[in-house]
Amino acid sequence: MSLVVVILIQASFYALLATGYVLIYRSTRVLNLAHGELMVFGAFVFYQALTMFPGSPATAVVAGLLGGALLGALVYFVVMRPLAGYPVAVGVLATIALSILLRSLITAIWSGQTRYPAELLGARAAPWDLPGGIALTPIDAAIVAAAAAALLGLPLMLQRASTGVAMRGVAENAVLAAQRGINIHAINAISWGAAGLMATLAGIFFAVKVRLGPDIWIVGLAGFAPALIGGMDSLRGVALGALIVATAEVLASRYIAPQFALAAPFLVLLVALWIRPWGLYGSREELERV
Amino acid sequence: MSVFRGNPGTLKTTHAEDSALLPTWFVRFWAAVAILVLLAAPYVLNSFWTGIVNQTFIALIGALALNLLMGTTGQISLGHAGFVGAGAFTAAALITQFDAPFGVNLLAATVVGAILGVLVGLPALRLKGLYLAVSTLAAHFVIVVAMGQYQSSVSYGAGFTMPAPSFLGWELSGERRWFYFLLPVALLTLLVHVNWLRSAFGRAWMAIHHRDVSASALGIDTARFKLLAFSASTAVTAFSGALWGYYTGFVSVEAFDIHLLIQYLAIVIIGGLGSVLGSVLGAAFVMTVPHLIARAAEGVPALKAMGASVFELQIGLFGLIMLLFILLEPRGLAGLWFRVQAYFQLWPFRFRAWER
Amino acid sequence: MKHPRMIDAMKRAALALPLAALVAAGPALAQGYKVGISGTVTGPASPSYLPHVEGTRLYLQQLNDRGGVKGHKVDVTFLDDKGSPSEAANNAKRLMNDEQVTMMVLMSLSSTYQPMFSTAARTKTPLLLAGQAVCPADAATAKHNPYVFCASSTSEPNAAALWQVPFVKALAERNRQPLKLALVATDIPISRMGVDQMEKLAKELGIEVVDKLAIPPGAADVSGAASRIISKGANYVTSWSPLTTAVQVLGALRRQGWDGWYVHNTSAEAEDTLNQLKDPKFVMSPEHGFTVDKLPVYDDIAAAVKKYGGVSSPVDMLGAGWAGGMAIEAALEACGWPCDRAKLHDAMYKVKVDTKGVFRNPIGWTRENHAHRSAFTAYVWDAKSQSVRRITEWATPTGKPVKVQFIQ
Repeated sequence: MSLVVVILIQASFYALLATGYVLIYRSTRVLNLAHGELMVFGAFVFYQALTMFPGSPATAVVAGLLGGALLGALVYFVVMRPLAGYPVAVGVLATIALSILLRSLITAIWSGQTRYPAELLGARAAPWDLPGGIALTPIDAAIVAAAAAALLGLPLMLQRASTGVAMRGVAENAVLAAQRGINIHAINAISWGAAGLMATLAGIFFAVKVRLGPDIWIVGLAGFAPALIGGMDSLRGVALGALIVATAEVLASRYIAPQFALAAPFLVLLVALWIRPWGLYGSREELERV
Repeated sequence: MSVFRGNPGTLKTTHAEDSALLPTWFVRFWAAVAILVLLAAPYVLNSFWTGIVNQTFIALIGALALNLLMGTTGQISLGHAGFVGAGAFTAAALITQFDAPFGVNLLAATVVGAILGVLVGLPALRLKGLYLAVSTLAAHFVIVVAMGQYQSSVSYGAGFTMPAPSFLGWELSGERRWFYFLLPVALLTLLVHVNWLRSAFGRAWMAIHHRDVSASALGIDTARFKLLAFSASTAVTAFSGALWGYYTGFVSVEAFDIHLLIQYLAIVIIGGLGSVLGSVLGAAFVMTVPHLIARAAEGVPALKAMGASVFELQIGLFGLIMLLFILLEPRGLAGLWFRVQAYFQLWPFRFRAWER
Repeated sequence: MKHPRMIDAMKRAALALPLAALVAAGPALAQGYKVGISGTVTGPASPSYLPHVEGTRLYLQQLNDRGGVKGHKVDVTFLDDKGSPSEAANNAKRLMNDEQVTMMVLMSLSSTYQPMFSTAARTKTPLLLAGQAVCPADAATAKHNPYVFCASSTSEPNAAALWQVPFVKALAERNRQPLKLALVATDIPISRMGVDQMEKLAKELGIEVVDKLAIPPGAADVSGAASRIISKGANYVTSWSPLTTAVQVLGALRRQGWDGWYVHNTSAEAEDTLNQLKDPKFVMSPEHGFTVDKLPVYDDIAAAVKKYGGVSSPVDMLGAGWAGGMAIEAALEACGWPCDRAKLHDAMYKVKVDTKGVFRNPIGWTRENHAHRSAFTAYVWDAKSQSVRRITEWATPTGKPVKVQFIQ
């Protein structure tokens, strides 16, 4: 299959994850290392709903998205809000501690077994044979479509919707935004909820496409490299960052050896940080905010 | 209490008295007691708990190094596990290739750590905060992949078995012997560390932490001291890694993963960033409390019926404790200690000074 | 005059007293066998080992309910080693050194072996490798650790290769297809070792190996690796690795339109995965029997799950752990009462356990051979009957490549 298509699908998946990281960074200035767990939790809620309401996958998806969003907002109120004003390091360490806690709760509730939701959905459709020798499965097409929708829709929302404009205000200068009467805690909760929703979306796609289990949190963690390369506070940079990382990974895996697929995103990251520490589209002053 | 710092009421007449590590009789007395208790410990504790104390000593050395970098100098480093592994692998490699002796391996591990520290510290000259953290995390993955490739190619994948080392003609095998070796090593590292902090290096590092622009304006060569901080930290970390490799008797790349990093982060967070006392308390806490919780859980029949989830929840409990410390007492156990100390010191006044 | 009822009561009390004394002294008299179990119950590797720990625990629970071994209960301490060598060393110290267990059981990753084995040798404690703990390569040779005994469902890579590689060749011949084989490992030492074994044997058997890959354990996406396999023209892929890698690679291959056969080695989740994936060209080569073979032992397991609960794995994953429990019972029974480590060690050679279908060959050891002679077979999802089906006869490799016999 054409490598271009493989890269495109991989980049779309990364883009979905990276938007979550960026949304969180824009609101609370923290690298959320518990993003993988947000993803897993939402995917498990989806799976749970699927087993409880077998006839309607749509309900399950909505339930999962809602679950992920609520967890995101909850995490903001319980963990991030009390830590407002503390250095970045503290926030990052808090998300690490949170990830340990969430992971063990998820495993305690749903057990460590691997599930394959694709079966319940009957979604093991054969790939479509497209011209050019390309085989595309419906789920992969859905991932690309979702990523495109997110990358077009989110910036649009930030430009037009009043909540979106408020989010931009808070991202630029939270104190000033608060002075202007914007309820920054509500806005931040919405940002975190949106991030949880994006993470869940990515999680549902991965669960249906590959598998579901508490151990897939590491997949969610891979999303922070594209976010950083594009610029932690830039939604515009997500697309490019995701493409760069996906290209490096797929090419390294295909032409060098698959072992380097894990190191490739990080090597790209190192190079990118060396050349342009604040990311391709990130704001320069982010550097000084310690 | 005034007995700790000796003011008011204790008169210091020389600089030596003022800068002494154990300034008053009260402190000296309890330090002596502590040393005696430690010396007697292996004969009171069984081999399991003596082993835990040994592991605490090794963890303490690594934690002091991490605290130097993260707490004192303020440079976030998530590459710690990689450096521990680098130290262990250096020792393993030297044994495999040259059958080098214990002392040489420890020294070599320290040197390799120092070199790695300079390399990983170079980005620190351009990056801060989040971006620095990520670049150190990237360094971790690169180191781990390199170690994995070496292991697969040399030891045919199975990992390296480390022989029991011989120190000054005395073979280190069994928990007791390791205890009496690790105790002075840990104390020495503690002393060296405390002295670094009290020296010009320490002051420069703290200045860089507070505001490196101002430090630079005051004439401190921030580039040099940042690299020095990284280098010193990773050198000691690699040293502790080599010790760990010898102590465990087995070195394999899987042991140096994110979980090890999280364990060390937990130690410095729970103990208290930037505080030597914090490193000690944190290491003791993180190494012993999970086992205490496990023993406590074994005694509760209702938990046994839950099967394997109990083990999962114990790990979760650990994460929760870490989170609670961050949220409620960011200065960690050391902060709690100082709070208690301040309460008694200032009683009956209620004003509490946080800065120490 | 004394009331007659009172006299009766006094007589009854007189009788009851010695009985009461016996009951009170009961616990002191009927002490149990002390067994220690260390397993990878939490951590990333736990899905491969947790089902076995649960299976063994279940078996020992119903054993103790039946009265134990010849009236003596089995006093088990389960510990988690999180797959890490230092935790395993701690567990070894606690169980073998301090608590002086008579028998030690290990159901963990191979990275825990070194500290466990050396403590077992030092304290002269018989150590049983059960569940899916890979049997070390030297167990069947004279260089084995004299205290380590294998009763697990995973042989060391050499034995597995002697089944898997001839099987792939036979499968290709049966399908009347040329064989272009790709080998997949996870980038962990033990898996790479296993795949290297398979490559060597494949070359000896004249099989064309077009590619050999190692996939990183936490890989988010393996499409690049899959496209590489396809570009090299492989129509058969086989792996000796944790199941997650195999499932990921297979999924990626299928999504890119690949229609070949994938053969995987043994795994606790083998039957469960075949049932969920329903891929007619995905073959598992387990060393344990599946529930579809209608083995009565699985009914016993199901009944125990129902009675005792506390188990998160489905019944089809508990077989090897249950068999481990059988081995423990047999060993303790052979030892008799009272039992100490030296006596138990000698008794291990008298053990012969029929695992009632979980394993094909009985568990037993000789002084020269501490390995478990595993038998292998192949199962695949049969679309016609909508269930998993065994497609070969059981075969036990004895140092040379096996002769594969297909059913029907």
